[in-house]
Amino acid sequence: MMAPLRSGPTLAPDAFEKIRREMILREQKWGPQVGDVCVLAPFPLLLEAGEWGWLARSAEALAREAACAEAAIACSPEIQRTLGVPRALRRVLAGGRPTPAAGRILRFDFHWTRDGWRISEVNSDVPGGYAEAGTFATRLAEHFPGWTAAGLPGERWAQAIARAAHPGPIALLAAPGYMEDAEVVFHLAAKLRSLGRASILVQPEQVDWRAGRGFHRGTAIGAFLRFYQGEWLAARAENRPLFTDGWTPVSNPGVAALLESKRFALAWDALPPLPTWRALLPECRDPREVAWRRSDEWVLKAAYSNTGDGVLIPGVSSEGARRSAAWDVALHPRAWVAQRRFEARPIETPVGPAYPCLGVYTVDGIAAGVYGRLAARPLVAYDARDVAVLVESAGERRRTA
Amino acid sequence: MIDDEIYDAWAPRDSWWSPWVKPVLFAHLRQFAEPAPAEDAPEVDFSWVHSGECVAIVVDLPGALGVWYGLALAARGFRPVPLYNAIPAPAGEAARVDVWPIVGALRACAPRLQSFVLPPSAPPAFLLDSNRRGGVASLAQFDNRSISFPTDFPSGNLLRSRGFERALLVQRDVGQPEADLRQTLWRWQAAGVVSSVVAAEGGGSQVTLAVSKPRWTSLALWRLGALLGLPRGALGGFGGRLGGAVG
Repeated sequence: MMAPLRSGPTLAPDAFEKIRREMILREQKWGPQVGDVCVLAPFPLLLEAGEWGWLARSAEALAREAACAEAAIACSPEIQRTLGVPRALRRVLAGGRPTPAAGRILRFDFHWTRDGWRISEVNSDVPGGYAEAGTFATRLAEHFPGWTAAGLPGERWAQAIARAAHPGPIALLAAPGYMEDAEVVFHLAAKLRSLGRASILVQPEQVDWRAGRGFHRGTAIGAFLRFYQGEWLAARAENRPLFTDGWTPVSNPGVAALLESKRFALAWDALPPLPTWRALLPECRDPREVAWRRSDEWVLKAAYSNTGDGVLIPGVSSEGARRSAAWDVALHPRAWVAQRRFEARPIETPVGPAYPCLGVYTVDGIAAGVYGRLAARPLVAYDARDVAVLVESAGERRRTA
Repeated sequence: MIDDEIYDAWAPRDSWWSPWVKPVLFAHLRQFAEPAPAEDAPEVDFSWVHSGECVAIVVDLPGALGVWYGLALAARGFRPVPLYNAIPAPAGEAARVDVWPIVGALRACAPRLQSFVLPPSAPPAFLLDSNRRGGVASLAQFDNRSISFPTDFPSGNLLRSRGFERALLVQRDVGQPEADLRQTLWRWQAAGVVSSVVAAEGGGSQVTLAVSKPRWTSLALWRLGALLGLPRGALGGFGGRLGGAVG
């Protein structure tokens, strides 16, 4: 099957350096180098308009179905246990009215495989990549006439929050110590500022809750932009209004952490119909039901993991990592899931064959852009490169029709 | 100098080591236009430094001292490579690690650094703030502690491919390196890059460092610390605010 996307040529060094500089000095891309690798790719991935249309529609369908499923899961502690939702998270979600959402952003990670596009997961709780998907792609597109960035997800999310927020500053929640999270919130603060909304970075301990309303140093907070993992926030009972019975809107709402579980598919039979998910997500099983240790057919995933750190792929992950995972599966089987391995297909790029992953965003259910990454191996982890994904523009499509 | 020129001085296009320069402090230059405190290159015996020597230096000194030390090394043919990776506190707020003096020193040293003619292949002097993990916690403070990771540096293989088989750690004394930096030096050693340590003001006697493979316990604790206390995920660096206006 022909890959529906291809790599564009490498930009001239001067042109790329100008973009790189803008990203690191003005667009909060503060980690552009990992070891010996520049993580910003100096070439784009080019996606035909029809293919982008299909991906966008699929992401929107996935988001619609996910919304119904999420509402059902939120009401069912039993399903939450099936999904391996941490106890603290179940506790803050139990029995209350969901806190209103100030916009909802999701990112679905699409991989090109032998059988076409497949998704590996949804980043439901705190998806990142806005500077790369927005500014970086936009700047690359200026060098490729007829091609454009697929969208500006950071701007769209900031707009959604600004629309839903009450008067008052937007409180940005991010865990200290994570530069990549700080990059995201500082980037979004700039987007909010361009919309005329002030923002403050706060720690949960600094929020004063009064009847579900959040205050910071006596000032009512207009909305929360949460870039702080839900399961971490849930560990502190005082944060409950971010999940339930809150009045100040939150984006993403605390309930978003539920779909972050990689065991989502194990509850499908108890949920409203999910036809798009069933078509695009590989089969998932409880790890106790399959011989994942002796087979290369199954990928083992931690139910709650980030940046590829809890993903074990036969032939890619080390034997030591698989051995220690086996112990953990035996001790905590509900913290893991076995997902049928899909055969990701590499594409040719100026730096050799690479495996593309397209993270398609939806904001309030509407497709909003793509975060592209390229990995040297079929696992998108911290060392993957960020790559601009450009879509054939309408004018170009007419000319080639 | 305008801010971009300051960045250029520290990360010139043609230097082999510019890709590793951490940009976060340079991205905040415009918020710190004050001149740096009157300070100059430290009076140090640099007899252990030989111009043109193929040695990668790692300077792990507190605050702005490392910047001034880097400038002194530039005068001796080394290319200073700032690896400071903490977000400065907003104006008027206290930080767990005060990096504004480092920002001021980067600004103050830039014109003189630019006046040196260093070849692209000039040996690197990586600059770290030895206060990066420290400070006393307070809820009102901006928490910007950080850890140095092996991926903040070139790999040992890359260093060797460029002819560097020795590394020299400059710190307050000739004791063991900080736990986080130890990970990098051990990886370098495994790749064939041998490390020594020299005291910043100690007269220049070098002590060879035999960096033992981190025991599983210390490695696990280091990872645990990284994951629970000062974690970092994908692309690395640190900083978060405990209250204050962003935009």
